[in-house]
Amino acid sequence: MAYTDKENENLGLDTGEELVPEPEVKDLVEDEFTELIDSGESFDTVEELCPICNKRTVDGNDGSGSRYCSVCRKDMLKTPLRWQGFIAAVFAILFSGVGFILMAFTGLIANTVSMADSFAKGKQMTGALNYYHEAYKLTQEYNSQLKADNLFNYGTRSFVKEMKITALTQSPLTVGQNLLQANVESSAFNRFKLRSLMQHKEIYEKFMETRKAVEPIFIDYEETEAAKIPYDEIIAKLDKLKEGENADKYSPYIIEYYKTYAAVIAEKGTEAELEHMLKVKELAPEAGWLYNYYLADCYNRLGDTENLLKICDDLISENKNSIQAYSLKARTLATKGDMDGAFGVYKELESYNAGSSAAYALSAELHRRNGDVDKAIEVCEEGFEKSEANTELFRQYAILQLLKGDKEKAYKAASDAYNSSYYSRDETLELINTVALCAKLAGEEEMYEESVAFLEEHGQALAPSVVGVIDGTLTLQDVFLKGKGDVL
Amino acid sequence: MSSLYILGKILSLPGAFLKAFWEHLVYKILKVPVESNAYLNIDEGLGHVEHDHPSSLLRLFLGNFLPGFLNFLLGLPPFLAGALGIVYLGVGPTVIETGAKAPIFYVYLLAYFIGGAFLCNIFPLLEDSHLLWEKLYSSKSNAGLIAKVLLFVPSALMLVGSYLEQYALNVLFMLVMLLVGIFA
Repeated sequence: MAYTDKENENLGLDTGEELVPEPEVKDLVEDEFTELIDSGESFDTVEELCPICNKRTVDGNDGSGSRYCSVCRKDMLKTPLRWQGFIAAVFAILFSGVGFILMAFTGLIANTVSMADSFAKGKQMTGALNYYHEAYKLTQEYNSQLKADNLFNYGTRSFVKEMKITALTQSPLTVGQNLLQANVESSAFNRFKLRSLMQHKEIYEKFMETRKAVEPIFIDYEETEAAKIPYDEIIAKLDKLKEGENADKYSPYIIEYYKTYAAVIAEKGTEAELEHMLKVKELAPEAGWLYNYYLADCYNRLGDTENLLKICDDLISENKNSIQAYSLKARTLATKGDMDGAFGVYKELESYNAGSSAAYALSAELHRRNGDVDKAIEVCEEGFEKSEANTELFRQYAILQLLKGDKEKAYKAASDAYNSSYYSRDETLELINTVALCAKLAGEEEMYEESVAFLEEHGQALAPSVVGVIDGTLTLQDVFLKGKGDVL
Repeated sequence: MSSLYILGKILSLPGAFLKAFWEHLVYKILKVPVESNAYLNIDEGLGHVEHDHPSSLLRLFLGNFLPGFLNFLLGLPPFLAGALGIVYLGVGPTVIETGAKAPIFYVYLLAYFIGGAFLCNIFPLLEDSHLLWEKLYSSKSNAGLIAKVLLFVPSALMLVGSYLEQYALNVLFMLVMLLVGIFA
């Protein structure tokens, strides 16, 4: 058979036959088909030629499915592998090995970040922040091990996520400050990725401007006695800032916050503080970081348990690791006599903050207030064993030892609490009063004097309950097993 | 369709070349005749080698499966490293906290590209996937029940994957993911 198609002309096949002129091809094909139909043979059995040699029939005609003839197949089996392929394969194996090492390092960082993400998703914000810090520390560790600065980093996306949580749990001011220090303006990539954080930078800048404008108003009254502070005049000056020509530079709610400060230094009372703080909330409902804990404190001082519990619930719903909010809520319920509710709050705290020494401290406090001092001591001792004991756990232990009558042990625990607070910077009025009480009862006059001096330095005095116990007008049981169950 | 396929293969050229080489090597081991060792012909066969029908179902399956599997094994670690670094962590060309240059970004980028190129070339040519499917599940199939059960998932995956590669959807996915990682 002869072919007329151009494709087969260049195959280099020496057919030795002359090509048939094109007009005759049609007749030839028609003849062949007619012959085939007349013979009654199936079309399937028409023998196909090998596409390589175009001479021999393909092996597949025997049912093997091959598309080539046996001779060409034999030749095809000898088609050599390309040397470039071997080089590519060796390169790929080496590159994959390096990729594996890189994946291992990056995977460990990413795994820590993913833990942080999952904590954040569960509203366990403190846990999330801890994991972001952990991821950051991991990159520093790798860099120092490999002696290469800035080789690994935990990425801009992780930074953005960490900053968003920081804004929520601490304050947007911290984030704004971090952004100013960070390399925000360096590239278009960063500007684009950090766009969701820019609002915090603006908040910080406005806060700084407001503070700059407010500071001169207060500067003369830092050492002034409360009674001599012209409260109304300060308030008027602060209000003026809201209307002046630079008014748009300042944040009205920050100005309102400074009014609360004025109420504090002028000792205008909790109601005045509350009033200003509620105004802050009204002006900037999103600034919970600024007003929530302060409002809770005001309600606590005023004994407004309903609003206090509401704020605690808000704080807990925003951050399941908000130990302070759980403690406040549990104490409020305990003071109301709802011990079941208080233990319920402790259980919730424990479920989101398992193993935390704050959970042991709260549990011990609730057992004590429930009258079960022995169980409370047991809880404290378990806390010392299983957690990194904090200031509050030592303080609770000191109170329990006082109730058990072991003044030396109580004083030692109070000293431990005091030392712990020095490092963790969590001195509270409750702590200093407890230390003073334990020191006095244990005959440690020097420490007692030091505690009283500390309170006076901060414009405070010994709590009436502590004075009452020292004077003998109150018993330890009155202070620690009844009412608020604490020195304050 | 053909130009999309060719564009996808060109964008993932390192993977296409290596895949064709693995195909050739595997077919040589399986004693399946291969027509030519031109791995990068710019046509519908780019990244594959023209070969004869394997004589048995096992050879056909291995010829379809092994070259892509090798590319998958080699491409996964660098791709994951690059994707975790750029897409998940969001590592950029500078360290955000310090403003220092971050050369690791370019390492991640290279790892993503090479690993991604390998992963974009893990499926057989569409006609080979179809052939395997027919040999396994067509009415004329004489494959045993065990083979049909065992090979169902891999051959179905290869068939679907071949379509993805035919329309360069895998390359598009990798590109979009990278752009999201860098900019979003």
